Amino acid sequence: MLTLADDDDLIRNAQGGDLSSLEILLDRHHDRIRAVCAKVVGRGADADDAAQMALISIVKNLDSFDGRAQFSTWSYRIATNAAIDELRRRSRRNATSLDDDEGHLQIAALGNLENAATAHIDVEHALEQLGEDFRVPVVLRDLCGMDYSEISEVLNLAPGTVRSRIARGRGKLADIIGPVTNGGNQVDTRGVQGTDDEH
Amino acid sequence: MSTEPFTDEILSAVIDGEAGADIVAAVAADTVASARLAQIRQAVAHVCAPVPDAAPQRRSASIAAAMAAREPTGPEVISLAAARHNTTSKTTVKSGIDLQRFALLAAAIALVVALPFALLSRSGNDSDTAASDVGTQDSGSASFDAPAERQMTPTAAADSDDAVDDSHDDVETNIETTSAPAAANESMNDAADAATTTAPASDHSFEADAALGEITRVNSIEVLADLIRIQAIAPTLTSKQAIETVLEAGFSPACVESLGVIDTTSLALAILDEDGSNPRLLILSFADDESVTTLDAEDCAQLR
Repeated sequence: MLTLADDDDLIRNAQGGDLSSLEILLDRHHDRIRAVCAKVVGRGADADDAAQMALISIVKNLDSFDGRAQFSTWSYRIATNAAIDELRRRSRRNATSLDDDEGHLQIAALGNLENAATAHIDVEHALEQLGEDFRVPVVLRDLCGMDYSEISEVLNLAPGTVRSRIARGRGKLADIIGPVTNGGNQVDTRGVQGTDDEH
Repeated sequence: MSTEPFTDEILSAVIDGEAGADIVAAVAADTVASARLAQIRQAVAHVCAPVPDAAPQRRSASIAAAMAAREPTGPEVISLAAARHNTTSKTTVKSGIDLQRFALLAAAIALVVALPFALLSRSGNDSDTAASDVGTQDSGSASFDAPAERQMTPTAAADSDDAVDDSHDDVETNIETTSAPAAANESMNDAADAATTTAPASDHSFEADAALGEITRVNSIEVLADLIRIQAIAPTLTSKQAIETVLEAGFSPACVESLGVIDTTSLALAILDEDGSNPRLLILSFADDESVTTLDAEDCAQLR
């Protein structure tokens, strides 16, 4: 049955002009692609727009997909680019400012970690506190499961830079979300060398 | 307990399984480092948290839009933003000073000039009307490839189509049909040359067809859509917006006697009243700043 076909078969058929295979492929990967867009872009409507642009880009470029990478990885790249494009458009609309003066982190929410620890932290909001430079690699790594070299290729960054940004992004996100709260025990993490001193 | 300050980068490497066993053991033995590690793991878990599903309609729309990008419906069309008839036609006529625009306008005028003669020639040849309406142009011309069964004679169209809105009076581009046939044909040939110069992508220009005396009666919105969407006619025009403009200007599609390309972003429609009188031009001129989808049959039906 076509709906049970693996991605390779669907891609091959779609490249050959089979629209039903293409539709199944898009339907199968839509939620994953949208999830990436949602984590990178943040807002629901913008995420949907980015996801749609990603799907369109996938369709338009499907013939160039040669199977050397996993389709999921390839589509993540496209989704990431679509999401970044959406961020650019949003930025041009002056709807939000993603980066601080150094183009790195917005840490407005870091003012009171103790309050943050007891408050409900919306993960989307937390992610939005990260600058794009950090948010995108973290999402690609932790949501998409891409390895450093793949992320390096997608973002056109040196692997060492990717590694550093992921670590720093995770650290900042941990600071925003606050100490581990399970069981009501807050843990003092002072003494661990974090990332604040890097700014 | 290690006193080494474990950086977030080291702890991140632990999470990714890239740290050596000795580092992992050292972190585990360090209370503060373990706490920080747990905190970062929690952050990672948040990133991995599922996002709310898209609304089903939005999801379907996204997939449909992507599928449309694969449909072999011709070139990607360009949005014809905002410049609506009442503004653009006035501007086109009143400010048509440059030679290129003048030549293009001449082509459109020639189109209207030809209409009465074409209609007269049909009146004595009704049995052949359907076939000739469909377009008997040269083999390379795709301008009037609309299905034969969709074509109607002017009389039949007038009987069946909607009334013309009073807003016709707003049309700025009324043209009197006073030229002689020979002059009209000569003018059309000149216009065809001009069209070739200004719209190189349109080898099958309307003007060339008009010069052959073939006038297509557009009696349904589907036919109008078909004609506009054909790549050879209007490579960068969107049929949807063109038709919307026609409707917004108060015209029934039945009143669109014929159409042709002025340039890659402008379209001329020859407009008649329902009884075939009062020929005039509707010039649609648009900007090209964004992409939109092409019109399909369902869209056409919704525009009725």
